[in-house]
Amino acid sequence: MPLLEVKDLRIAYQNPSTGEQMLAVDGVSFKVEPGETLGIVGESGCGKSTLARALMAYCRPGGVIVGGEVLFDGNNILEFTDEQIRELRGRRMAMVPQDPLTSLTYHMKVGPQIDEILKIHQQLGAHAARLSTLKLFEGTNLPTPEKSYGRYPHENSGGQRQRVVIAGALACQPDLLILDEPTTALDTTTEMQVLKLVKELRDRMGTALIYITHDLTLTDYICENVLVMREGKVVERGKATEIFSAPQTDYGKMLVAAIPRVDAAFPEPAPAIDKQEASTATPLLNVENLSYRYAQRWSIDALFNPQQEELAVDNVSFELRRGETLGLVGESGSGKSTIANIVVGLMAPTSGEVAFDGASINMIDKFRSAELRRRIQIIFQDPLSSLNPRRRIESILTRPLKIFFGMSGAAARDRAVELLEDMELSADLLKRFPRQLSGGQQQRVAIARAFTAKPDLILCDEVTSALDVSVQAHVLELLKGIQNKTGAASLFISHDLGVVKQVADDTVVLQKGHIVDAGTTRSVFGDPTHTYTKLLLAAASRREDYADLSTAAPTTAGALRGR
Amino acid sequence: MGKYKNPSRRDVLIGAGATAAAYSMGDLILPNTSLAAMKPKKGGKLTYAILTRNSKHKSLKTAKHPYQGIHIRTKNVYNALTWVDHDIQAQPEVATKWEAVKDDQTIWEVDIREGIKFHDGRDLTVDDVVSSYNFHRDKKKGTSFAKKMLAKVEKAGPNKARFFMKTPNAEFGWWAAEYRQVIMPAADIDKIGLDGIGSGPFKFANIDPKRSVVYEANQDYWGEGPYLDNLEVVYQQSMGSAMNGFRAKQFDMILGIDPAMVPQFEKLENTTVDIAKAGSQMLAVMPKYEGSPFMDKRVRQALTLAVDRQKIIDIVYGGSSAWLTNDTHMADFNEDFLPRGVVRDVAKAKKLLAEAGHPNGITLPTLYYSSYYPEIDRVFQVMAESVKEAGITMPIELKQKSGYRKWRVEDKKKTRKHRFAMGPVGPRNPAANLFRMARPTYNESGYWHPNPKGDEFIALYKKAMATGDQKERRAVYHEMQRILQEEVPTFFIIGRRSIDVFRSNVHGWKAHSQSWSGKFDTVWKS
Amino acid sequence: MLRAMIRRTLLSVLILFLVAIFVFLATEVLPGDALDVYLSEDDVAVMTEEDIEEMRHDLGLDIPAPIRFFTWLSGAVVGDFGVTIVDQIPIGNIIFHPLLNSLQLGAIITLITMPVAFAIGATAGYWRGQRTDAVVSTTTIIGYSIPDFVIGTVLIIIFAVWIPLFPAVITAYNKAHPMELLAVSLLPAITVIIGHVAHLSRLLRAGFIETMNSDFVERARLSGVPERRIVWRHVLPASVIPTLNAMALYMAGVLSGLIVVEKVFGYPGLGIELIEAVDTREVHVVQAIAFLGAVLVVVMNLLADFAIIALDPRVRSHVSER
Repeated sequence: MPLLEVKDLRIAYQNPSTGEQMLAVDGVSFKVEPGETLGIVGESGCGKSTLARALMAYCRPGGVIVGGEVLFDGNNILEFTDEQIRELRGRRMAMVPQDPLTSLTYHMKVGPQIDEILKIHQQLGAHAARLSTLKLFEGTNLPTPEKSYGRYPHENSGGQRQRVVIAGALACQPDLLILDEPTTALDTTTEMQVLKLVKELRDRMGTALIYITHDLTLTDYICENVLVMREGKVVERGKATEIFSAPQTDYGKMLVAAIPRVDAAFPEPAPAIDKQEASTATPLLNVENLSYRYAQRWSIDALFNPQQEELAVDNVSFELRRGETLGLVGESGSGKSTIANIVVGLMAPTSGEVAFDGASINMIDKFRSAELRRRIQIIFQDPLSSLNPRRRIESILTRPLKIFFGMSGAAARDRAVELLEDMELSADLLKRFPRQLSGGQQQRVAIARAFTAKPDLILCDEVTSALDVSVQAHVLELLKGIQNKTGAASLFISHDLGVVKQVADDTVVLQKGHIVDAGTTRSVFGDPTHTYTKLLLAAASRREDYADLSTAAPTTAGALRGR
Repeated sequence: MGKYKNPSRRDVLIGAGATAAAYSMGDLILPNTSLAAMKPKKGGKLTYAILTRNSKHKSLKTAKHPYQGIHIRTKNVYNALTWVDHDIQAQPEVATKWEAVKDDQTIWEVDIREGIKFHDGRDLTVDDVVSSYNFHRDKKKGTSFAKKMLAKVEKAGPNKARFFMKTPNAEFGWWAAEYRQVIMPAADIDKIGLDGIGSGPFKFANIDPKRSVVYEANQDYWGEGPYLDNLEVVYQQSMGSAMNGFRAKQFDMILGIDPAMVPQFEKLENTTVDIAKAGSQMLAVMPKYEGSPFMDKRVRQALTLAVDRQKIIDIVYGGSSAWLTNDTHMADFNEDFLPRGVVRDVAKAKKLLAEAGHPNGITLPTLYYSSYYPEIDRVFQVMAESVKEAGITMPIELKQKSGYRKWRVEDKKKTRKHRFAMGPVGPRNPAANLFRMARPTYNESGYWHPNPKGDEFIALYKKAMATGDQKERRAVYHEMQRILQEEVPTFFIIGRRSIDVFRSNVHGWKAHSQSWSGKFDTVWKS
Repeated sequence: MLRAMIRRTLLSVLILFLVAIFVFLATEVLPGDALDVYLSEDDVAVMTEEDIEEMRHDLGLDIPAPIRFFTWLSGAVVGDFGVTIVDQIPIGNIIFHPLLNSLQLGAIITLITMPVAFAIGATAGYWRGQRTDAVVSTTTIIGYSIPDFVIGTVLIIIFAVWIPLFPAVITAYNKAHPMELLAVSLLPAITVIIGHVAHLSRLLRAGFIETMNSDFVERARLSGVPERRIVWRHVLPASVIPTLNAMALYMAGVLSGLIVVEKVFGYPGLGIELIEAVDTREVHVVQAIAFLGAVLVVVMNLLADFAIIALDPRVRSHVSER
């Protein structure tokens, strides 16, 4: 008998204003044997998280299970009473939620939150519960269980929090553990550590796992079997390795192809003519010995406490030639966004020199000429932050054209349509508001808007991080296309090594404000010199040798945990 | 909760026996006369509410001082030499007799009643009178009437005091009744009056400067009464809360209600609404200076002829709680009051305006007024409407009460003249009333002085003050009123009557035209 | 943390200074001065302009406003609010008891409002969208739409005139015994409480619903934690925190709200004192009361900050880092 069997499960969400029901999960069936690891993969909105919660007979407000069965040990838990299901949850089946920070009660210390589960399900006394919790913390490799026990959620690092949540889920040694995107909120290296832990625990305890993710590479790393979901339905299923290497359906193929992989081949180099021309001329952007220290806000505190904060950017130098793309890579807190802000003039550097086209641009935005501002454009991770939600797309695109080039209304509109076509968007969108577009469409409009100014330099700050893989691939392709067409150089900032490898000519690796590795993308990825770069690459490619690397560079890995 | 009392069975029975709501004027107080045969009952507590705002009474330290009363009702605790009765006659109190010992009425001798004891048991003597009046006439601390008129006071015998007036004052008896001029135990000027000891029918028992005063009976009172064991006055901020308190039986009496509330109180059971003979009146200062329409006497005459005062009385005062003014400060219950010959004459008003060069009517400056009385808006609206019939357009505007007086009078640098604005007048004796028009420096006449008729008026006033014989004086007063009615230096709108309301089990109370002169010594509750 | 508190305190002092200036300016633009209100028409009828000017000089009313202000302020800094203009009575004596009385009424109101609002808000929030919630929502909308003076008047008519349980007007003294005041404060307290409970319970309901939908409640539920324990241990503390500042301001506002009920019922508090002081142009009394009001707002905010620090460890560590 399978441990879990789902039969034709259908879950609907009700639109609160129209009362209309929309199926989020549409006739899903599958089985999980004891000790098996099943991956459920899909892009955002495919219904995978809704499905995951329904496996524990739970729906968020507004959702309702309209049909099907969830058989656990042969019993349909959808028919259980509240008390029966409560008995089951946390004891026989447990969930590791997506964001450990918001999933832990912020006003309680983390230890007691795990004690609570033990007290409820195993009727342990306060002391016994505490001892068990500490043991669990040890088991999930929390470095200092005693200390962690007495900390509040926010006082732990992201990785530690996830370990705490996993400890909570494993507290009663459940037969089934559901992990809902447990590493999405973590940095790449931390993610790798958590994955390793989950793997070890599964092997040790023989727990069945259901691993929900948008990232196919993860399922390849951790799962035996995989379901691919799309629009509430299972579109492909099979062995993880098979699906990853030879997907059967178009969707599966597209999904696999879209993954920016660090172990993929290097893209074709750009036409050589540009390169030669570029190498002789002055670089478009030249950053020399740049440092930045967060200025103390004026406050009475500052008077009492004149001590300076650490440098966010420390003595960084690089150059970017015309028409080329420079990738800035690093985990959160590495200083890459600070550099971007200095280049566009949102901040002034503490020391060092930023030269654009041979002239210093150390000054902040308001002291820059209109022409300079036109020539440097930025695209953000969240397109809505640069698109005025109260203006139609037409107005968003034509306004800069009118301002920078004095175009007439009709001419500006024609140009806007042209730009939309470059982004493979229909002219119908002109009449819409940003919020009426999908995330990918919004980002494409944001790119179009940046290119209305005919910039020489475009800053891309994590432009695809919020997008699904398939959409991401498309947007990257369009971005490269329009960049080649206009000859604009690009400073491409990302934490995703796969993406950078795909788009960047040169790459700079940053760690805590320092450059640890730099050179052509080919050399940095092909022959990394610094341990940190190796670590990042290993984590990104889910290589088993990650463990060796992380022990080889313990200080670095430790430092990475914190945000 | 502590203060609430259930109505006793007795209250209800007696209330039912009496006329439900007696409506009376002056002496015609039905329940009082019908119950007059009943012997006054001793005991009980009476709580009355007043609506006059307390602007002086701040702290316990001065709360018992006669000048700082929560209400100007000093009569509860103190005696003055005299008091003014309901018919505005001066009656003996501490003084048994007062007479001018000099023909020009400048020196007065007063006989002091024997056997009066202060609340602390001391006898009231002529020394106390002299000491009190030395305080009243003190330049810094005294009271305005006494400072103005009294030059010196001295002991003239074991029971006799001698008053030296600065100017002749034939109406010494009324002057001596002014509410602050009470007799206190002799002491230094710095200390006198602060202990709250008087010789009146009640003693201070408990005081909250802002809210209420509780009095207890003075068992050794020299006169009739008091019958009540306790008396409490509660200062109320609004008519609404006072009425709530009355309906909830927390108050036995409210003094000085809004005439518009009369019908509401009449509807209540066991409630008496009592209307006094007279009360304050409203005047309008008509500033006379180059360029002012009031320079022309005919405009002033036309205005007072055009106002339909009877209509104001009918509409605003229910036909009875107001009286017709006569364009002087005199109140209609003064024996010396001289009514105007014509009450209203629109045709004549129009003719006067035409003669004055306004054949098609005239637009006057805005007439400002302030909320001295609750019904004042209605009075001014009816008035402004009624003068239109004579072709007079008179815009009116209500100004905030606080700061109003300073705002309307001429400014210090005399760059701005007095405005065309309303002022209030209390009902007093002729000497006090007519004095206000006999002061060249006082702006209430609207810069009437210097003026030949004004000079004549002043001369007549001086003559009256030095005339001992009341009949002769009356002739002078009549002459003075005629001058004012002809010249109309100031225009008098309407006079109101004070209205008190009380439960039917309260006896011996009569609404007093001079609201500060009512006495509770003979009031009792059945 | 200490530093943060010092910073807030310094800021508070600045706020208080600004309040003092603002109040002073506001009272300066009012027409007339204390003497003008003090003198009756009878007084004026026998006084000359020179007499009045002399009195004005004696009382110091002809001193230029800025000098008067700074004289007052320099005293206020050391807790001496000066004396009244006309009677030269220490202002402390005048406002001490009314202040205590208002604080007593405010405390009663707060002590009743908080738990009641909390219970109602949590109940409505837990059964969101159901009948209980609908009833609560409708009632609370009505509750805070009715002005205080209307509620007060209706209560008086019902519970003082028709059913004589309570006095219609409070005649208790400024210096009345607290227990005597307590006995008569019920109607005025209820008058204010109705509006406040309505407002705060809506605030709490929103906070409660937001928390019930949070990820940590979901995690607790999926860990098999019983509902009762989720509500008490996880949700309640978290739903109070976001409302604490609003509550503190609200409760500080109780004093200003009391002006209305104090007037309707004649409660011997600071509100009546303030109205009186404005009427009589006792500028220094007005300033002192406004000043105390500002102090109260600042103190309540500090208390709320402390409470947040106590309840929200995130803020606590943030504060101690600074």
